[in-house]
Amino acid sequence: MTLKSSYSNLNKENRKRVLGINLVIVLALFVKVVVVIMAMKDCETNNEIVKLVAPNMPVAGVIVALAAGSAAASFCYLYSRKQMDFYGSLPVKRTELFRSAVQNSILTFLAALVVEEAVELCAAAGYKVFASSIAAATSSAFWYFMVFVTTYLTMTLAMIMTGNIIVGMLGFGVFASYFPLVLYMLYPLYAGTFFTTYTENATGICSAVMKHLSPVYVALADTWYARVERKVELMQLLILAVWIIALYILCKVLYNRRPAESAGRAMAFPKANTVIKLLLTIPASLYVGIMFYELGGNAGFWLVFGVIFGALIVHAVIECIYEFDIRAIFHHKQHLAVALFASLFITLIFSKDLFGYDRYVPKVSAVESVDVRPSDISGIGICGKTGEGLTGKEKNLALKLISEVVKDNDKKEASDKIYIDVKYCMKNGSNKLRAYSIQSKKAKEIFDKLYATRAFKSNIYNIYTGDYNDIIEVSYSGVEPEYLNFTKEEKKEFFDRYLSEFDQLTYTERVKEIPIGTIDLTIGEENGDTVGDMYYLYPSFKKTIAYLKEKGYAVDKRIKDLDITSIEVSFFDEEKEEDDTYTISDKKSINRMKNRLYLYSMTSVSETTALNSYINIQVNYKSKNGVKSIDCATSYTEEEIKKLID
Amino acid sequence: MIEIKGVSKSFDEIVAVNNVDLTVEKGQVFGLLGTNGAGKSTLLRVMAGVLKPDKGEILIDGEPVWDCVEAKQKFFYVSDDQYFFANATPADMEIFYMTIYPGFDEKRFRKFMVKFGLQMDRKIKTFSKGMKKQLSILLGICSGADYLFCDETFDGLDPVMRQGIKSLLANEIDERAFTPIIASHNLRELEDICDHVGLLHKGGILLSKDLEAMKCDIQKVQCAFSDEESTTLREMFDVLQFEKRGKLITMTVRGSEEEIMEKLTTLNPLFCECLPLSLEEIFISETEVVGYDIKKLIL
Repeated sequence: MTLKSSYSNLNKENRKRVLGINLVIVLALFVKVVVVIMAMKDCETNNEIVKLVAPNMPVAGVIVALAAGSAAASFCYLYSRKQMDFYGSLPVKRTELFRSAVQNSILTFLAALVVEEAVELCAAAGYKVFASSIAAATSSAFWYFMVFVTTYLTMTLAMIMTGNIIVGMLGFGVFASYFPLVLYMLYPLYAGTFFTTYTENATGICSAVMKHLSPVYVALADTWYARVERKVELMQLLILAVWIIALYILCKVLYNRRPAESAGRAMAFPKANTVIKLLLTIPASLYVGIMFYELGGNAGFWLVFGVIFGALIVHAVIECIYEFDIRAIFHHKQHLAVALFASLFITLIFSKDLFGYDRYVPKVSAVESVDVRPSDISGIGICGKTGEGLTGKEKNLALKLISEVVKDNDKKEASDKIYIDVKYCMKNGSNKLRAYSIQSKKAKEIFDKLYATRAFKSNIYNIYTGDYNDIIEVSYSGVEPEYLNFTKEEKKEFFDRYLSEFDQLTYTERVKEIPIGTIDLTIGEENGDTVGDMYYLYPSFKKTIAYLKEKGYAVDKRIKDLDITSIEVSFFDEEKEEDDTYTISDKKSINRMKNRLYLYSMTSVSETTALNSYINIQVNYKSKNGVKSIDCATSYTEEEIKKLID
Repeated sequence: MIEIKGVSKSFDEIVAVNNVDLTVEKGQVFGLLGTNGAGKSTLLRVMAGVLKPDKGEILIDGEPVWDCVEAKQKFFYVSDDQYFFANATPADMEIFYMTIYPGFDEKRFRKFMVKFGLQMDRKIKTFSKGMKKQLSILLGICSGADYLFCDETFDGLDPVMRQGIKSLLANEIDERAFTPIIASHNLRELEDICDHVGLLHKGGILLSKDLEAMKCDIQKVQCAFSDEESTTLREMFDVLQFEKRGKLITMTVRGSEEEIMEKLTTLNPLFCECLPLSLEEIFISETEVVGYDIKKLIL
């Protein structure tokens, strides 16, 4: 073992060797603190000063560069035979050499960072924002340090595994981005292109894991999360800690095993060459394949061409890098064959759906619950719990109906299609997501059955599971808005009636019946904005309307009940290619039109297709406070309106 | 003592060192000779703990070399192209080596630097190749290590410096059990200083012998006969080289001078005498036997 005094002397000598990069680090942090102090002067609120001190992504990016540079400076001797002969023959343990280099770099950065954050805190204290800046500065120091350490160790790994600086830098790029960028995006790209039932929300365990397979990415993502959410998740910290420990151990083990003769070669461990080559060639060829596929108008020929072309090019480039010789492009043909075969097979899996992704409907016995959400039903959900899916007989019914849907499912665009998002919550804990598109006629058949069940509605509309005491305010937005001042008991009575009538609402009525207004619930406040839910009041909800009237709220007033003086109609005339505006002021026309006028806000009701949102209508009416206007929509078509006007 | 036991080292398909067994006794001056590509530098690098052998092991005073601080403190490795820290001066290197070699003799080093005319505070990158070699050797000698591994060290030194270094090494050997192991092509220089040589060829060891014993064991004989005796001679002796010009036969044979003269006398030669062989001649003869013929390279 090297003596302690020798070790500290070794550290001292090591620091002299990397003086340049350490000075760059100190300089960079110095510039940062100067910029922050200058920016503080222009801040108008304390919050802005705190944000300056808090971690931010541009600085994190600079720290990534500094860490990579520091690792490169510390371990560049691995690339020189001369230096390897020197360091290899020294009476110093390999692990001591490694530890000395890593320790020096990390401690140097940490010392500079602590000083820098302390200076920023002092500056914030000058603006009397010391107390609230402490957490931000601590968070900053912590996350920047994490980013530095993970990047440093990742770059060290790249340096140890390669024998040349350019290959080392490429290696770092691959280690940092391979899983979160290369692989993570590949599956959604292929699945989204070829699987008709693929939904962007289908992250799955694999995708969630892949995002965590790059320590640099994890550190940067956590830094961003810390800035935005201003808190730290324990699981994130744990993952990062595991990564740092694992990287350190891996680097140490590989450093010890690294053969000195690999200095100057592309890769230090020849046995890893083939694996790395395949891991790079296969995804690269798939990306090239999909690019050609889309450029070639989604033709299968171009997909195959692109995959083969991509594999050839990437394999050739990697061989050239490995051997530093352009003539190496034709080497290792068997590896190329393996990569090609794998890429083409993967392409086939997706393009022909070999494993039946689109046809997949799980067995009833394997499903815990199933969540079915058609695109034309907007789920609502702050007050109450988000539905966990249908169980029991509703689950069985849903699965049976979905298996019928699977037969009709295809990707052809059609205006009368309805999209259904389905989440199968399996008994083994996993979730499988699918998105189906079916003809609206078929959808109607299915949802007439499902929508009729309370279980289905309570899965989508959270109010079914809500605690009414959580609702701070209830108001009504209709022709005449009303604040509904309920007692606790009245609130319960109101919602019980409302939900009992909502239970009776069928899928067909939901599409055809236009609400007369909305019930707006205020649940709380977030960042100065009110947070709440909104439910529709349908004209068929007679008990609810009667209850409100009993309480003195005239909620059943409709547009047709107003004393309309004139109606202004405007819409885009395609023949004239300009907006046409008409004013209807004769009573006869007004009387004919007003029965099919509704609040304009009802055009945002996704369920209903009865209203034309592109016809703008303003109704002028007399009220006790004079003449008022209200924006409306109509179920008339443009031709019908023109006839009315004529 | 350095023991090299069954050491092999390959680089991809190239076998650089093939099952080498060698022992270097303490206090010897060991010359490591070899043809181009014989594996001398590779063997030295394996001995210095830079390369890990694929097979076998190297022990220095009973301790394996690989990644062993105690074993490595016993030697100093001077490669053919020695590395110095960027912008370092000899004083900087002295400080560094003092941290690594506890026995580094600072006073002695400074004394030698003055003697050899090298400036302590001048940047090493401004030194000539020869000056750098001198500096390396001085650092090695003053490190206090028992063994000094030198790879092509005398190349680049002027004749005066070569003599200076040789006398320095001789002095060290006299004062303590200092053991230089010198790899070189310069056989004439090695002949002066080495007392034991190892001959490497194509990764394997051809011979490892005491130099004097080697010289005693191989002779150049010149003789002449009245009759045709060449066939008899080849049968009678272990002939390494044979040349006949007219009646004059010149051959290199294995064996002691007494044995050879005794046998020759029985053939009644007209004339015979034994001539001493230089190290170079021994080297050429031995390698010719295994097919490395210098004459074949000359067109």
